[in-house]
Amino acid sequence: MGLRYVKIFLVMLLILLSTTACGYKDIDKRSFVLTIAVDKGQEKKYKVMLKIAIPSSDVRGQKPEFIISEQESDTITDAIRMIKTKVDKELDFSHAKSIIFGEEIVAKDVSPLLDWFIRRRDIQKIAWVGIGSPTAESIITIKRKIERLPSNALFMSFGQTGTESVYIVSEFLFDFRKRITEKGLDPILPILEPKSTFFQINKAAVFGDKKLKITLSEDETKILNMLLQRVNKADIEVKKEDTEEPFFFVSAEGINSGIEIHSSDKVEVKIKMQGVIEEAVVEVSEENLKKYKKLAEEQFKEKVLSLLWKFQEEEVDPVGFGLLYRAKSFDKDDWEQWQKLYPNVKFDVQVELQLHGTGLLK
Amino acid sequence: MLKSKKSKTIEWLQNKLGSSQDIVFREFQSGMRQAQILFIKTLCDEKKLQETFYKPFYETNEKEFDKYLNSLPNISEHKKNEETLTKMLLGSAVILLGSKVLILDVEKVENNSITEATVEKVIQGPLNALTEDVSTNIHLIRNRYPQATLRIEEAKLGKLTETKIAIVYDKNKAQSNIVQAVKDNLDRIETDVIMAAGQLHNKMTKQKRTLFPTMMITERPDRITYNLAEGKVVLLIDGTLFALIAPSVFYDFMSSMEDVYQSHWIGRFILSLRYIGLFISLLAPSLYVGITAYSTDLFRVQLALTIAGSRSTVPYPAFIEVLFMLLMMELLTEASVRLPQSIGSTATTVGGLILGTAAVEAGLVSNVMIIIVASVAIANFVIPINAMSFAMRVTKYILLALTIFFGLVGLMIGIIALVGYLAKLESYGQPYLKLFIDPSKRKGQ
Amino acid sequence: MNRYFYYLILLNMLVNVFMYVPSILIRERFDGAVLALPLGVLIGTIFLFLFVFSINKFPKLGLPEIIEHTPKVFRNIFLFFFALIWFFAGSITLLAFNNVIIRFINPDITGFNMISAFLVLIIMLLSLLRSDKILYTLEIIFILNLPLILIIMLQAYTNNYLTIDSVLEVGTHLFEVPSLSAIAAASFVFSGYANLVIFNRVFKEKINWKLLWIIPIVGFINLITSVLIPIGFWGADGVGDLTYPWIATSDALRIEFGPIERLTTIFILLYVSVATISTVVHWHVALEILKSIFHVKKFKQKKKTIFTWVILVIFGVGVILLEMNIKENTIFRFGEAWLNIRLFSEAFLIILMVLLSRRKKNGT
Repeated sequence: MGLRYVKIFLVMLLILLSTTACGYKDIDKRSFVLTIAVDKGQEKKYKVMLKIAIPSSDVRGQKPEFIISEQESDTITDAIRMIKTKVDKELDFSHAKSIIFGEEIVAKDVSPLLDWFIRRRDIQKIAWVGIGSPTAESIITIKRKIERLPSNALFMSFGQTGTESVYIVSEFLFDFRKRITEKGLDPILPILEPKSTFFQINKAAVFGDKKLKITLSEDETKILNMLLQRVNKADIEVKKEDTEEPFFFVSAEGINSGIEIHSSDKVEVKIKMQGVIEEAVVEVSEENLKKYKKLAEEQFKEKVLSLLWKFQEEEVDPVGFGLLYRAKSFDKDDWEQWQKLYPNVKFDVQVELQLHGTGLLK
Repeated sequence: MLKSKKSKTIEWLQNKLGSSQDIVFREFQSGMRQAQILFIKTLCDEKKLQETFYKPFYETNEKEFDKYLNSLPNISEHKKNEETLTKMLLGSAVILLGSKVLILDVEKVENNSITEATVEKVIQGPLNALTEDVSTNIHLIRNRYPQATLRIEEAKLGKLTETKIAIVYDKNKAQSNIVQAVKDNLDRIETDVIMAAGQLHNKMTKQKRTLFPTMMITERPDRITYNLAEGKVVLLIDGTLFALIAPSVFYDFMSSMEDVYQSHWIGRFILSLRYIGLFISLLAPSLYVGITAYSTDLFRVQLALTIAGSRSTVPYPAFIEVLFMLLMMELLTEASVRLPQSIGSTATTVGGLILGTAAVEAGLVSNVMIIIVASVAIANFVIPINAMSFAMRVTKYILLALTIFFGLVGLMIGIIALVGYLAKLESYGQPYLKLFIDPSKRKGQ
Repeated sequence: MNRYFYYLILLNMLVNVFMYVPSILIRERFDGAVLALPLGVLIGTIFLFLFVFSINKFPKLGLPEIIEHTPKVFRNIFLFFFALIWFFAGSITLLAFNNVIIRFINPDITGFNMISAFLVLIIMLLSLLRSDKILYTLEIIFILNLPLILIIMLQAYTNNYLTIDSVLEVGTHLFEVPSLSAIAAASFVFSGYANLVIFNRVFKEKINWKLLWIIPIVGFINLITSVLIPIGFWGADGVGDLTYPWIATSDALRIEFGPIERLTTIFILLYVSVATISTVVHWHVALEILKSIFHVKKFKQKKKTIFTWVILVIFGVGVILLEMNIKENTIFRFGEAWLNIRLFSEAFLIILMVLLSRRKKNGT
């Protein structure tokens, strides 16, 4: 009996198959878009550029080959449609792992731009987002010699699988959108700068009001990364007291930070870490370890504070103090309350450094 | 009167048998005693005949000889002509002695030499397989399973072949309803020729066309012993060194005797390896097609580009590539089975290595494809029981077909359908695919 | 056999993703969805315990047999109504995941073709499998899927980008009065027990009370996961714009060192396979209830088969008609309405069962 049903099953499937115009499309008939870059157009609103990989049949000795297809248009959909007519294969966005916006374009509200990326089902929500400075085009056209795969360097540095740098604030598309929509948590993006045949990422941009507000320096980016708990290893420069000369560097590990709001006018920021002295510019001695520790803690605290004040001044909140306040408050108008509170809120920064020693040298 | 009936029997038999050159009819005399003997030379062991009949016939007197004959275990009296004929055809001699017609079983057994197991090999465990003779096999089993509760019942199947089938089970362990079901099943079979275990299995299943084996086919006496102890019924078939075990469920086909012989974790490891092999051989081709043609987002970008690159010279769609390579692989496997061993390895080398490399060089097949087909072939051989591994080889194509049309969703539909179909199957009341079938609990179900 | 009871419950818990439970609760995240969670757990648990208590009085009997002695008109209307409820349960799941597949996995296939492929599978399984075999299939599918689903969930929970503060912000809206829809949605994850109205026939033992306390705990964790994880990934304010919160969430997950990086497709396939089995289970219940209305047991074998096929074809055609005529949003509203009706009819079922079980106690 059973088999009769199986037969019916197969027959019905066959009937079905014969009517199916299915979406069969071979992998070699697809062009994989690896990076999407959007700049401000000269005539139209956007200039959309797609970095499309050309797979080479020779697996060994492969050189990164890609084409960049660009189109100016007022909408991204339209631009993509126009690009499609130029490419012989089906555009496949499922591997678009990085999205780069030009500096000019993020100076305005980015949410309408982002809409397309979120809405499309085939765009990865785990694509990395970054800002190309001065333009996205300058980043996307870089042809690196050591890449085995187009855009690989970008993926590697964002993904932190290759380089582990404290200066990169890796942002996923979904997190970027979350930060745009969430009240009390502002978006951040890494800034990419071209340097002849490679690019450099060591700055971060902080958004406020859905557009670029401030650009952070390298050191500030590092501290922001620590506050966001994105890194747990970093180097900290300690200067000689009351001078600008470098004294020694601490290689810190196990960085742990926490923010707390207990009363409505004070934000507590705690940073804990442990480390050893990595490079002493001037001679150090083990007996003075306590002194060094204090010096390092104080200097670092100053840096954190100045960064937080900078945020406060510009009324941006990438760390999420506002969200924390909302999460603690059961009031319905907690967001409005916080907006009033934030400009005057005090920061209490506590840095706790456990200095384990002076490294391999005494 | 009697005499005429006797000679009538002989006449009838001779008539039926015709004049083949191996039919022997002799008359001989010792003192006052006269005897006639009729047998088929090629079926009977003449040495045995000599020992049990001729020698005592000449060496003893009438009374003693009668007693002697009565004490022989392999002698019976003539009842019906047809029965006697059948017995003759299975190696008995018909003896006319005085007023009696006696049938002496002197069957010549030539294929009872014990050989090493070839299909189900284990590394460290009993090496020998069953023989092609039922009584030797029973001897092997009795030796390994010396229990008074072991029951052996005989049946004959096949109108023409009259194949001897021994139903072996442990009376205390096997459920009587399963034994009865097996017997009923055997009774129902109407066929002319039975020669192999697989054939009998086919006849015993209710559906005419099946894909998955619901009875285990094995050549290992140790496996039979193990299963007898689990309360299963074993069917030994004369003329083949394979036996059937019922009921058998899906997991039995995935287990090898090695699992019992190795230490616990090693056994587990091998078993999980086998399941991994099963999944690879079932799913790899479909996954390749499904991912490269439908869900390209599944791979990492590096992998996707590598595959796209390796496929860029291939002039036809991926599914044709897969089908073509799978077909080549099936042909290779089939060819190496049929070929003599000495040539077999040449065929695989030529086919596997040279053909594969050439196909890639010529740009007809991508090299990723070669990896997949090779791993499918290897993984398939990990499945220990041949019948199951064949079934999976076929199933793979059904899954592939679904994937070609519906992508990974089709593959998923196929897997669910397969699981459902396996769950639907039964082996003598035992659900075929059910998690945690505890051997000790099986009897209760 | 007892473990199959837990599978049936687990099935509903997993399928809630396609039953719009997260969508409904997330829509009302600032208006009482938070309170709806514990309320839903409470209602679901009470229902579950009462039901188990009363069905244990009728070992090996299904609902149709239990209400055999009630007036015929009542019995038939009652059973028919429940058959409809179960049919729609399966249909909504089917329509919803069909929609998801067309959206996210096979965008080029038509809805009709895709749903027909699933219908062929489901109808084949329904015609092929008896109640116990359906449970075996369910178990195997679980064994194949659950480990992977758990890995994905683990990925979600340990993700660095999960913003706990957003989740807590939603949590601070605890003191809002939940709407009916929210409570109905939250209590849905427990209602897998109701499948026992048919499957109790093949349960050899009574349901064990000892382990029953696990269900509310697992159910609560399940609810929290399915509502709060999307909020943590997409933000308390942004999550509301998502049509399929969980699919979007699965797209935010990433396995760094696996051959597979993006999890959406895997996630959808895993959940769809569970949802398919769920449709099979629900329709099986509907089919069996319909069979007992017409006393199919007394039919001859051939007539039985014909009856089964007629019902199955009606099921199939019904779903195809629904698929062709309603769009995404309507399915959502349809699903929401079904959840609400379900809550009341479930309450009705429980009351009836408790009454009958008490009467039985007095009778014997």
